[in-house]
Amino acid sequence: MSHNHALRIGPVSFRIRSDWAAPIDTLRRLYAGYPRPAGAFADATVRLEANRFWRRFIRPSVHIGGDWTIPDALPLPLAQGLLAAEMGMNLQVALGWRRHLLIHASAVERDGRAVMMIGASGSGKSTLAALLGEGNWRLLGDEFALLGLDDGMLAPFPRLVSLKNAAIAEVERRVPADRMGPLLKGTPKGDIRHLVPRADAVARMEEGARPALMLFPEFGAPAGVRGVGAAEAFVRLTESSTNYVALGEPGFAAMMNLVRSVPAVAIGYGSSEEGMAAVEALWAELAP
Amino acid sequence: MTDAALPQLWHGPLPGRLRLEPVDPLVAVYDRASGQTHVLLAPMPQILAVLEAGPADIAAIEAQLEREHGLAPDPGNRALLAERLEELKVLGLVERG
Repeated sequence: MSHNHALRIGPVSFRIRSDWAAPIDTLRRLYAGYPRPAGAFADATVRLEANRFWRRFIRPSVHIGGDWTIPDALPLPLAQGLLAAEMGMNLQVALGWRRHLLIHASAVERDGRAVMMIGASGSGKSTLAALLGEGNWRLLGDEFALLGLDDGMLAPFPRLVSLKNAAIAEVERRVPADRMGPLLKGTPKGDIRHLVPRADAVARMEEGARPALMLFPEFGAPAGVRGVGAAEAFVRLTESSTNYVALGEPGFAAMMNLVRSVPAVAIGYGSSEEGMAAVEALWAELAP
Repeated sequence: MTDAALPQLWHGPLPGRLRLEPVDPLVAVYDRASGQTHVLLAPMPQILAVLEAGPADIAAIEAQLEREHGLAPDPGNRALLAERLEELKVLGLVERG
């Protein structure tokens, strides 16, 4: 018996199939406010498969499949089926999407202009975006910034925000419980809990934003702001992109346009409050 | 005359193959032939510019760079230029022959 759910996040339509009902039930609850895809075909398919058929009865464990696979991807215990689905959705987009330049970055918007936060896991980009998205910013996405190849606009991709470890408690106390997913303890990335983006982020996910500021957050680094030149931004952004090489010259041109037209800074900060204050201060300095 | 005694010519990429975009202080180079992006520092883009006009041996490249960029002739220049040419060769942007 196969269980499945289809949904659209920004420009990407997904179909998730699972050998088990539980992960699909959780996805249905958390993505309840998201539209169904318009057509019959999904851009990305994610399959959560039993590692071996009889494992369903003995020790359920989830293998992630889909259009693209990583052969040595960890099988996850069934209790982490939601994480497997989210990892699978990320993977399909990271490897398969060609309509935008994909940059590993979170992004928030105000007045039609966006702040991109670019950084590796642990830099605090997801947490900062989640917290700003609970204030007077609109969350565009916590994981991927989708940069238009022709117009240089960011397409919102407001999937569930993946909160890790200490970030979980920070966000839990600010949002109602019905916007939080189950607490997933002891995953390969530590404790994880998903946050459903605020309703405005989902309702306005057709509405793009023009990049106005690029931030390279460094959680735990000494507090301060350092200017990042176009050359350094170019190198760091190409390293942060999952499809830059695949896109060829249009990707090169879009990246060049971004680093030449949008100012970039690195910020060190020791707490979320400090990080959010730094974003507001930098924003206030930018003339619209 | 042995092969070793012949002046070796360096060849640059064909016109239109590279897209050079300066992003101070670097030059980002998109290679349409390989789909690769290279990030180059001076004097690499300047060497490519010299070879754009046609093949040249190392003495001619050195003389032109010194002339165009107002560099004082220095006995050490030749060895440095040879290293840079080898690096461009590894990147597949110039060929010797």
